[in-house]
Amino acid sequence: MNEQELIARLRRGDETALAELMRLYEKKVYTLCFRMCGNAEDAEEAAQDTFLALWRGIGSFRQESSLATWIYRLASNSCIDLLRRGRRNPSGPSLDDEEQMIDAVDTAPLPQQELERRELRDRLCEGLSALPEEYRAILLLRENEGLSYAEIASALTLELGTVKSRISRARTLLRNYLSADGNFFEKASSKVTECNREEMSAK
Amino acid sequence: MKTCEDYMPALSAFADGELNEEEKAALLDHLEGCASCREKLSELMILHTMFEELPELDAPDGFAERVLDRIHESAPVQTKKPRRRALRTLAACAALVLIVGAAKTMLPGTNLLGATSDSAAQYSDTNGAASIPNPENSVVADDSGSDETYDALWSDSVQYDGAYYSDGEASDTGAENAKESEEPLLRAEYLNIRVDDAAAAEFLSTNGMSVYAETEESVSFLVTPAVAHALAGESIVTAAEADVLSGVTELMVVEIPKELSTDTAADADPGDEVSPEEEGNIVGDTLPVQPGGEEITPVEDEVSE
Repeated sequence: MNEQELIARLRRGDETALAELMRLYEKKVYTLCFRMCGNAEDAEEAAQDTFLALWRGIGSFRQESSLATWIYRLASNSCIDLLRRGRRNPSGPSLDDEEQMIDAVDTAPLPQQELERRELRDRLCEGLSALPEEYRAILLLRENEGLSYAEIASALTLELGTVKSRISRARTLLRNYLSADGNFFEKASSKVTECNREEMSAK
Repeated sequence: MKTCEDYMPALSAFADGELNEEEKAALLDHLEGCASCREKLSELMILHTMFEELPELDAPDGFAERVLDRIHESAPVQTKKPRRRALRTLAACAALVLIVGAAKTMLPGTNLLGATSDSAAQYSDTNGAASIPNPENSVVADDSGSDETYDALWSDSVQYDGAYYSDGEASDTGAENAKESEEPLLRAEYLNIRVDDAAAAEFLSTNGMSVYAETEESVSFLVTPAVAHALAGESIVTAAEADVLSGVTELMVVEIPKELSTDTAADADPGDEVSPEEEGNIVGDTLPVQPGGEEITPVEDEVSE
């Protein structure tokens, strides 16, 4: 399905076009919302809000970005709105929810490696939840959705330089969170280390 | 002296493949001699693989159906015939101007609010029992031409009585001119959203939107799609409100709680609103606007935008 055609049909109010679009994007949007909101209920609400906003706003979509980038923008805004509206804490039930989903698929005893992977994933989700919303959104768009800095700038209406510095800052915060119990990164490297090329290269 | 923290943005961008050749060369140059930054870079890579471990999730069963259900619930956004509705609205506004103008002509110096004359009684019958506007405040129109009249109609110096529109049972008895509106204008015909921010009232006022209805609790503005879209871009509305505002294709009503409203036209004592010059223009004037006629075409332009 050609994107232009899809947009044109959406603008005509063709609901089958929206249904097609949801088939294409619902997993991505829902996953992003889940990572942002931290639980299934809020994730669904935010994901629904995203497609509702798309349906209502398609007339004002200027196509300065791709449809996908615009959808990420709507999704990110929906999540931030929902989180702010309820001042909901994204941590807590999130992991349970995800565990339930995974458990539903596989109830067999887990090998050690799988347990470690799961712990890693849980800690990452906790760390993400601990980030301020804006940092969480930007990092998810980069790491999970693979958007370029330019695409993120367009999706979140930010300067390219701001995208660069926020992603860097988000990673530093996340890394520091994960290093707090010493399991993933060494605490030592969070301290300020001088970089002195002359000194190092003189060795 | 630079610390490793200072290199973090460059390292992070490097890991994302977002450095240009020049920046990349400079960073590689630095990495060659800085073990700490190399360590940081490897941590970024580990972090990246951790993200890759996060599975993509399936949307819950029935997700798409629920979205479509919500769209059907809010179907009024998709209604048609914006032009005709806009014309009817303006016709009704003009009719109100004519009614009040005529009443003033018949009874110069009589305050309609006193309801002591036949005309005032007729006005009251026509518009129901709800608050009757003080005409000296409610309608301010210039007689210097249709353009000015149009401007006055759409400026925030003109206030329309909410009861006129919200009372769908308004009959034509005693108000011949009101027949121009053909059918009762129900407030429910418009998409009506509530914005809980006083700044929205200011924004709408300064963008020339008229007060459409007023109750004790709130003040409502009649808003053109162009201004609704502009309001959607303001930080004073939530993203959910922005979604609705950015999607409208026809006139809509934005209601703002009064306690929050800073709109002086809505809050001030009605008696203080009209300047002597403006007041002079009302008395005894027949307004040149023909309800539903050619003069009001600018509204069509605005709506069809």
